[in-house]
Amino acid sequence: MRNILRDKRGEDIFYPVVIFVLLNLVFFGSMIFFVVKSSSGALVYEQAYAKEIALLIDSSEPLSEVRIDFEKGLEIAKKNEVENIDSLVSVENGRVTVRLDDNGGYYYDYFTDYNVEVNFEENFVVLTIDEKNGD
Amino acid sequence: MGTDFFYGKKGSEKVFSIWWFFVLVIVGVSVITGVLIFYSADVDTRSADAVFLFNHLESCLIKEGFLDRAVFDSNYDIFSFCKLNNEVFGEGSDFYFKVNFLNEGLKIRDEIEAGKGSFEKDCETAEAVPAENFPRCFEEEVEFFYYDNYEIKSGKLVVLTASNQKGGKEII
Repeated sequence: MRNILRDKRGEDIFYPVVIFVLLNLVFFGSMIFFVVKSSSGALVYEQAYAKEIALLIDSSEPLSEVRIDFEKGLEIAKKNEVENIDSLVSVENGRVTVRLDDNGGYYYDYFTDYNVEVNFEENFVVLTIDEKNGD
Repeated sequence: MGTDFFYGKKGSEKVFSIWWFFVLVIVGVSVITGVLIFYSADVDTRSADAVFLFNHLESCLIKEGFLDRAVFDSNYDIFSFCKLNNEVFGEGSDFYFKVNFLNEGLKIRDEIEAGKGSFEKDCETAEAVPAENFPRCFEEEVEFFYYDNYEIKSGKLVVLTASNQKGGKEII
């Protein structure tokens, strides 16, 4: 019985190859995991959405309504367990801030002095742009 | 010495595996560094900012080809008239604009400028040499008509706008 498990001629080449292949799989698996995680991370989308919203506000006229597809942002926020949807996008005092996780958001300023309301409708962010009261 | 010194060594595979791990570490660090650089790169929208600011000013000051008469008022405030946020153009601003009102090279009213004053010079520099940290600028001339003592005259609006805004990450 002992001879079944021991003193095999292939021992010297079997174990090193198995360990080598396993380590390679672990290494390249880690690399792929890291790349996928980075590409679907919050920072890229926070920056894109903040700039998109700020530029849209600056290029709009009063009494405009702008709808932006926020499906990917909602998906990332859900994955990062952000519960309050209303806190994902804030537009006030000339600054747009988009937060898709709990590590702070990305901000971008806009130069117009309009009153901007932010609402969510299903997968869209709806911006209602109007002149400020008293103008 | 002979050939026995170089051949028939039992430890060769163990020495090469150390070298293999070293190569893996180099490859891993390179992949991680490349991905981090790629995904942390900014999308540069400064040029778009400058163009939108120009469009906003132009559409505010010129209506149907005529310069708005309010421009000639002594207490004319471009911020309230053109719905611009004066805090964004205050101290430490990333924006700048300068508006000149000309008729055959002569000013028909004082120029209006706001934002970071040094951007005007920076725009000239950025035109001459590539300058990553200098603002992105936009300048254009627009013709208009205006009334001067019941006479219709033509003029030129020269607008220079600049933005060096890159946004940022909120610090909690």
